[in-house]
Amino acid sequence: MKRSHFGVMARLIGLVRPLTGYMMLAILMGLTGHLCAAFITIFGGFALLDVLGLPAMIGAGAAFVCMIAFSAVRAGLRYGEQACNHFIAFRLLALIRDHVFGALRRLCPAKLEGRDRGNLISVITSDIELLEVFYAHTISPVAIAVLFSTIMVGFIGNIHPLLGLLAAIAYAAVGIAIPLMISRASGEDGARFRRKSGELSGFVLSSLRGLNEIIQYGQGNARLEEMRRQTDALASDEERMKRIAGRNVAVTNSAILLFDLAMLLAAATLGQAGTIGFEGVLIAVLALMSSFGPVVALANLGSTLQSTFAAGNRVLDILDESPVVEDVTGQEEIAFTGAEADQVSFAYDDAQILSDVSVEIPKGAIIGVNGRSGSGKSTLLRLMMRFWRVQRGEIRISGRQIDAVNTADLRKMQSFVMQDTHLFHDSIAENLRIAKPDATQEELEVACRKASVHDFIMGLPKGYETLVAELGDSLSGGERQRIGLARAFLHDADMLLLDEPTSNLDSLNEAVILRSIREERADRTVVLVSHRKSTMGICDRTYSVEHGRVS
Amino acid sequence: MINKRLIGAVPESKKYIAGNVAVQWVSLAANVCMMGSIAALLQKLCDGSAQTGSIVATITVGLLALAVRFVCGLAASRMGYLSSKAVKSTLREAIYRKLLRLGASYAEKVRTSEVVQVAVEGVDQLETYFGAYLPQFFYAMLAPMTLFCVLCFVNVPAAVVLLICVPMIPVAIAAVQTWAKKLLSKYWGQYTQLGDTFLENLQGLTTMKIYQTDGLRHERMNEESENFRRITMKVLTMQLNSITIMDLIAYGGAALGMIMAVTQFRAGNVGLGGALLIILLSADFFIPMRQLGSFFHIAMNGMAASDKIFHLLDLPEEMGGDRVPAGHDIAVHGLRFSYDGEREILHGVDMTFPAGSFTALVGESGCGKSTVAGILTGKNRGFGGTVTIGGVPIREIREDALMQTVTCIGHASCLFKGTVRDNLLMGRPDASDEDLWDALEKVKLAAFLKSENGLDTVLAEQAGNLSGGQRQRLALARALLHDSPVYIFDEATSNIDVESENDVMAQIHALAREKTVILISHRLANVTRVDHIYVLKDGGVAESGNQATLPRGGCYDKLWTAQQELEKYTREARA
Repeated sequence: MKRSHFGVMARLIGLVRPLTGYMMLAILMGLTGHLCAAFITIFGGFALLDVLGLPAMIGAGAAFVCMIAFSAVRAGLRYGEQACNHFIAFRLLALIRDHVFGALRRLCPAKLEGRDRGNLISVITSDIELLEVFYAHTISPVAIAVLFSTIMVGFIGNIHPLLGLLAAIAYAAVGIAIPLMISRASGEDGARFRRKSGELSGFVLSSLRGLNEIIQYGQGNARLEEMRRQTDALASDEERMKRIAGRNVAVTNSAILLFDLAMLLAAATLGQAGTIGFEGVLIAVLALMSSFGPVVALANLGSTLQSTFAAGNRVLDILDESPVVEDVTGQEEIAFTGAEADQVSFAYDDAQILSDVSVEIPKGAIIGVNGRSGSGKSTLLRLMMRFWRVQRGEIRISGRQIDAVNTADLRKMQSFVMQDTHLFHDSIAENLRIAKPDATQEELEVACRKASVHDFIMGLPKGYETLVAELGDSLSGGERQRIGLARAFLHDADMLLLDEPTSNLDSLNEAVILRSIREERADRTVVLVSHRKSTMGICDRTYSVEHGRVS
Repeated sequence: MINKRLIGAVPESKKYIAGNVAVQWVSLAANVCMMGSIAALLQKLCDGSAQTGSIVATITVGLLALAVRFVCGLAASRMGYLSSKAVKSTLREAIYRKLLRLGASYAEKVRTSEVVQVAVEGVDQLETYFGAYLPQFFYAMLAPMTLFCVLCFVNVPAAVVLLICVPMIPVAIAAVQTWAKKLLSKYWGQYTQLGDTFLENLQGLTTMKIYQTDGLRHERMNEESENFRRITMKVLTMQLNSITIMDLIAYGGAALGMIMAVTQFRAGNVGLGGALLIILLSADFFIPMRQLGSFFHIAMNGMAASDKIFHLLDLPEEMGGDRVPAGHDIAVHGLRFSYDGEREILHGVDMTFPAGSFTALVGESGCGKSTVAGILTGKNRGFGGTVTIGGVPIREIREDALMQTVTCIGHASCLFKGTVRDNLLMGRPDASDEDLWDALEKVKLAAFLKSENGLDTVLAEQAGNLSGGQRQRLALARALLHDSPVYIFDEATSNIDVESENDVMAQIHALAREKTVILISHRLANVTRVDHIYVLKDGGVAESGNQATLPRGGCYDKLWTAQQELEKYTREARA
């Protein structure tokens, strides 16, 4: 969806309402800190004026005390501001992740099982990091700069309105006009450069990951040559980017000096004309010179603003997206008595995946669905779990249309084992407890015995408490799948759905899994999807799916 | 915070760093002139001696200084770019060359994930280290000294006060650094861990949803991040303290300098213009040092990255042999191997693979069959016993000669982003399109690719746009083009669909008619037609023979029976 920049910004700010208090505190401390810093120099000017016997806001002695006090206060406020900002940053990251994760929980699995799943996940994570920058390093600097500049314009305008006007123009030019100009100039270039440099990183990455093959085929030097060529190709882009960035900084700095000179000229002219006294001239010049800090902080925002808006847009898209299937609640609870797919059709984008597929799943049976990869058989399982919605035909659980079954009940009824078992960076026990958070150690062991993985786990250094990450690659596909199966057994459901559970396993591992399924399933109903005919042996009945049709 | 070896690693950056410091210095000088002129004008304005001409003169000086500073700003950023430009390419190349020198057995010495981190992130960090931190480091020394010299002509006591305050900043930084070094690694460890939790919660979301534990995990994720925040804030407090100290010194020092200027003026030791100049320049004493302080994390990251890079570059390299195998008979005697030096995987294995023979290695997972493949392809080096190819010990064979002799295809071959042609030409760079199509025909990929974009079909990252079976068949085509006398297939079909498996197996059997082929497979049905079978068990050869001669009731027989039984089991189940 396309939103206006203002709309994106307003929505993004709305997201962090719980942090408003801290945000205001950070802004207040930052504002006061900057004022202290600027007024150290200005009070130096007052002290000088006092010594000269000219009218000063404050005596020299008092000014000295204030200057020292200001520097101490400034340091203290800086501490407070930084502490506040870090607090905000952490809370923000947690808050945005909380929102996004909540949204994805609604959208998943349909959203995350699409074609560009890997891409989506990486986009989300990097977008959130970018947004953290926006919140923590954009909102408060802007607020501080606006408030600070207003105060300074008032202070200088008090000397003479024209000088105040000049100061206002100066702050606006450095803090608004130049960043906008930079943003406009660097918008496309930056994105292209990041893309190209991402490609180069990808090339380096694959050169490392594929080192075995590169050595096998003696391609090391060719790879180095290509790496150099890509680096050179990127260099001209990078050079222009850096040149623009350098020019931006130089332009900002020059603008500051130019306005300093303009203020000097204006104040001196007014002074010569007798409109203001020397004290006015000196203070106006010192005040402007020492007060560009907050607006300079805005100058660099221009270069990241475009990508921040893009990231914000994508994140808001996720928050706004309505799920493919809404959870069903409020229906009467039912007991599982069997399931069936009745002339089910399903298309993903333009591709027809299933056409008029009918499968009957009587309670207690083992039903096999066999077919080549891409034949649509996995989609059938996902429709039975209501991850997607049937487009034509019906899926019925216990005779009731699946859309009229409470989602929570449906989940309770079903366990699902996928082709690859996802293991979290946690202990084996915790990984099993995904399926039943309050499972006792005994329950875990019973489930693992059924899945023939208990002995393996007991052989590990810390048994069930062994961290999966410590095992790394030494955990074979067979062991992973058996843990996945143990999970499914632990989740005491009526229906066990298995999507290619053994396709990455050797025949012995497959045999172990199939035997476990057949002999340990008790009265569970099993739906087993596989491309291997041999896997179908344990099934009471097998359906073949070809090009989305049952044959 | 300066590592001589690091700077030495990228010698061409030195002159740019020097240039960067020089232009910044010129810019500072221009600023001093401008401020001097402004201070002088203000003095004239005060005593009423100012003419229109003096205002014009000051503005002119100011504009000149502005122009100089503009040019210097551009030049400084250019120098920063030039000094960092060399870093990336130089270091990445050095790392990659090192890996190539380490050769096939690199994975024994360094983890791939670590290399990736160093070569991508680490090098990026060093880029900023060279481009921003190093120049600032030197400039931060030079600038206060320069200003001190200038202000000495105006008023010595004020200049001395300002100069004394400056070194207190690096002292404060150093104090923090000793502390931070201890905690930073811990802090970053936890930080990245938190990022991982979010990422892996996204990756495992489907699993959680199936079992309805997504809500629980969500809560736990929020708790974890709150925990992380608490810990990190504690850790950060110290770092914030250093910022406070830095600010206190910078602003307090500037305030002291100004107070000195005013008191000296009151005492008549300095004129109004001089006092104003001190006031205008006192902040500049501290700006470079403060900026350096804000680059602190760049320096820390850079140092950490350079440590890792040098660790990698310093890894000892095996002295490779320089001999070429005289024939292709492979003999293995008393082979012992351990990955970690503790648990031995192979306990004295004897095997022979005569030239032109077709041999299978079978056994349950973990029996050591892949380790044998690793040793024969030079990936595992530190073995005991002897391994010879054509009578030449494998350790004495030049690596590229070994690679031209033995081609290994694993279960997850790596394909590269680019066209199908690019990937195939890796196997034989001078192959004609006809050769390539020939190889593709053999692995039954030709028809599919013709329906796509032919040899120009573009593969995505890690060939993600192909199915597992297609990837493996393409990898096989590449291997066939390599045309080496010996081929090792290490579970090459364990990850793919039945059709692909059959195609690949058929090709392996065809290949075995003219080459030496070693087939490692879990599917005994695949090895029934080979010349010789070695059955590995618990790191030793339990049996050897062929389908007909292997003993009844032995390991092979049991495995065979188990697999047959499964078929029987499934057949019976069906009946």
